Amino acid sequence: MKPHPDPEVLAGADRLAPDARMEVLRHLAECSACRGIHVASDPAKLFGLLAARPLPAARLDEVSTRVAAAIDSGARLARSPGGSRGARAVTAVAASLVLAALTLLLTGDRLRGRVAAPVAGFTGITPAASLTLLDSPGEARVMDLTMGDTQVVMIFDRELDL
Amino acid sequence: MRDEAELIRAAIGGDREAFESLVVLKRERVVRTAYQVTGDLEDARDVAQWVFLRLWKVLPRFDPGRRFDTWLYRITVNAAIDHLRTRGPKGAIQPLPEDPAVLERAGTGGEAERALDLELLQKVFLRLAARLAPRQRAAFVLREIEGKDTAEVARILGVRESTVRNHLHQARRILQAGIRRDYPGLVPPSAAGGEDEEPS
Repeated sequence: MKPHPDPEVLAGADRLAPDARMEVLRHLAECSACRGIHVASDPAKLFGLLAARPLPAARLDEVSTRVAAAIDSGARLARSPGGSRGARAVTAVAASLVLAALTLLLTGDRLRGRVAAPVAGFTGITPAASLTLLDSPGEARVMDLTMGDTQVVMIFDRELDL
Repeated sequence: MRDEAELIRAAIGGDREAFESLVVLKRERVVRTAYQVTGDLEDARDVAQWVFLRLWKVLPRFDPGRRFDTWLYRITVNAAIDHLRTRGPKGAIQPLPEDPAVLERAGTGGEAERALDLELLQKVFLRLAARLAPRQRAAFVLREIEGKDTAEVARILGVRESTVRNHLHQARRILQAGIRRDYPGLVPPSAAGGEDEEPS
């Protein structure tokens, strides 16, 4: 074991340069006496020693490999690390729209029956609808929802930052 | 071998090789920070992967006048906090050692040189840190584990220094109470009985 650091160095380990700080932390991990001085005023300082705990090299290599592979594949970046959450939200919105459209179609006749005085030119909802998932670039979703003469094209793209 | 500033300049210009060297240089810090905030190594790897992909995407817009590490820590901590809020803290269910003395293992130099078991210390931290709010936890990790000063932590978190001091005070209070209640054997006898203080 290396010589015990000066008590002033122990007290001011936070202010040391990164390499010097790491050397003191490694000493503290090995030396109970110095550790006692270091954490005398604050036992929570013990957790600072976790900086000296090495991470598994395999995990670090995985990060490099995955990053390189993702760049090579041109993968789109999710809005957040839990990217699937965004995809789930898009799916939920799309499902809600489809459900709303179907409900409208199924109740269309009854709704028409409640219209007391048809507005001139209003032909009602034609009970014919189609929902098409068009070719979508990347993670974006393009949907074509056609009801009678009305066509709604919906684009869901998490990358759009409106 | 190119130094860090040179790697950053080259990566900003789209040099893929320089960027990959930068990833190797920074990945340990990014994974460690994400791990201590999320409490799970798999999550930390996912966060780190996202951080570096984002970095690759936005690096051309990086202002070289800014501090790169501050910027990188900021992206990392925000991503880790976002992940933590989405998935909840991991590592809260850690087995308590039956005998707190097992946290230390005997060294070769007698009682004064008892080494701390860092693996167990890690488990203790994950268990106790699950009681912290995400911002308190991030402030503590940056200050105590990553060794950043209060001003730097404030820049990374995008808050005032007084807010960081408040987060740190709360985090220390909770962690100290947890140590004294659940892991009194963790504190070396020479330190036992120390008063709470709020280091600057």
